[in-house]
Amino acid sequence: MTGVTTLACMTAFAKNQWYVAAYGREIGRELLGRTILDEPIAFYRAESDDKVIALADRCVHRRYPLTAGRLDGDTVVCGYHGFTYDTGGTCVFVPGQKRVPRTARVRSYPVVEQDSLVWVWIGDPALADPGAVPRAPWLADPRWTTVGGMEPIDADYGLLVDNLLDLSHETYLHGGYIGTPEVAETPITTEVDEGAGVVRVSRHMDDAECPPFYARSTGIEGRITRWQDIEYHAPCLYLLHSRIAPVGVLPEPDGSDPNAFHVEITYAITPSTDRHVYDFWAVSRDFAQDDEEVSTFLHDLNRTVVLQDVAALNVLQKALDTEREGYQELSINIDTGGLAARRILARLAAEGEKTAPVVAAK
Amino acid sequence: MNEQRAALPLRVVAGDGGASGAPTAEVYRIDWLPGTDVLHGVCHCGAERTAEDPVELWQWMLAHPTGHHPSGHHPAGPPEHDPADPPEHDPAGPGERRPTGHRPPTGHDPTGHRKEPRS
Ligand code: FES
Ligand SMILES: [Fe+2]
Ligand SMILES: [Zn+2]
Repeated sequence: MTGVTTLACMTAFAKNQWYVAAYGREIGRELLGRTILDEPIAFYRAESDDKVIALADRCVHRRYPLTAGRLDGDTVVCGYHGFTYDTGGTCVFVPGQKRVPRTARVRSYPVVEQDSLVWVWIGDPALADPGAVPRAPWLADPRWTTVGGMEPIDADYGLLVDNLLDLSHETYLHGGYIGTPEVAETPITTEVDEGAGVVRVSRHMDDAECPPFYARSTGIEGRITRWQDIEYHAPCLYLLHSRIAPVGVLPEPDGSDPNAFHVEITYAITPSTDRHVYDFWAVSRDFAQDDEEVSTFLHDLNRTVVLQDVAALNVLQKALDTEREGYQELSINIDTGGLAARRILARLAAEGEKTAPVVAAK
Repeated sequence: MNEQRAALPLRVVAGDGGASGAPTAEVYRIDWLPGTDVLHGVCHCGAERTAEDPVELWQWMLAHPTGHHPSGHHPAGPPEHDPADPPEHDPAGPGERRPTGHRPPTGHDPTGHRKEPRS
């Protein structure tokens, strides 16, 4: 009976946190709708300064979605009766009358655009600290070439966290793509930095088969040294620092690493509803930067892998939905990181709840 | 494994990690000992334990400081304080963040595995 835990049927949302809402390239002069932690939000770029604006996607009049309306300069015009909102969410025009009711405003959300990602703050806006947004600098660094995308999954976001924190599933779910026997066989080291809210899971394979994902992109023939160093910045950002080199090739004593291939695999796990999560993924490389063929190959192969996860998690969620509240599961060594992540998420969710009454009183 | 960690590509290519910065003082670590099914946990206070079940090991680890006091099995000298002593200083309380360099809570020091001498 070791390793048994009893589960609730949904991973709690952590408020007062930054979440990735979109890639910067997705947001322009068309309204984009995303639901984040159950909050429908309309995104667009202001005409005057190109800044990303995030407003509650419900008109204050009859709650028509603003994303069904249109942009007019910096403002949004509701598509139903024409209520018009400025970039701060204040209604500046209503049809047929001069006086705009003072309470006519929609909520606006703090936004940070950084490293090619658009982050939105869900929670009390007074607590939003742009300096606390975690970094993924390679996404916007010219020394790296990045491919990426986003796939929605019909599952509790906790299932995606579990999935990404335990890469032993690569061997089984992604065999022949990124998985090889060594991934599941190699012991991991797990660290929880409680103060920073970061979980680190490392798996260093000294002598491993080279999966097609790396064989075809790097051109390495034969076996490899493969390091996977995960850094999960709960709740949203997941970084996998992947180092690939011919067997026995290690970094130099000075810390430089000219003879290895580095791939930064970035995921953003953004809960949408209790049964829907946005799975943002990106693959950045520091080799063959200008090779279009490598870009296409890595994009298509990684997307295939992500879709394997999507399919698996959709199936898993359906199965879990037939379980009774308080079902049990069994954890083993490979789950050490996932268990740590769950606990941090539970703590962040509890902390986010604590400040909720303060928000209401404001 | 420790030596390799010092040379992660992240450190090489992305020094400006912003919020992905330096570790804080409260780091819990579990090593899966190669060639075995054994997990070896080390608390930030220095207390250690092995187990074959990650759930059990996290429960022990995160119960810090409960159960992290020196026990009879530890080889080194006597505890500096009895675990039953009232804490001298631990305003944050268990589970709260502590600034780097803060001493571990009184009475929860492991005796056998301390890396630096106590100041
Ligand atoms: S619902 Fe928006 S103007 Fe009527
Ligand atoms: Fe996967
Ligand atoms: Zn401890």
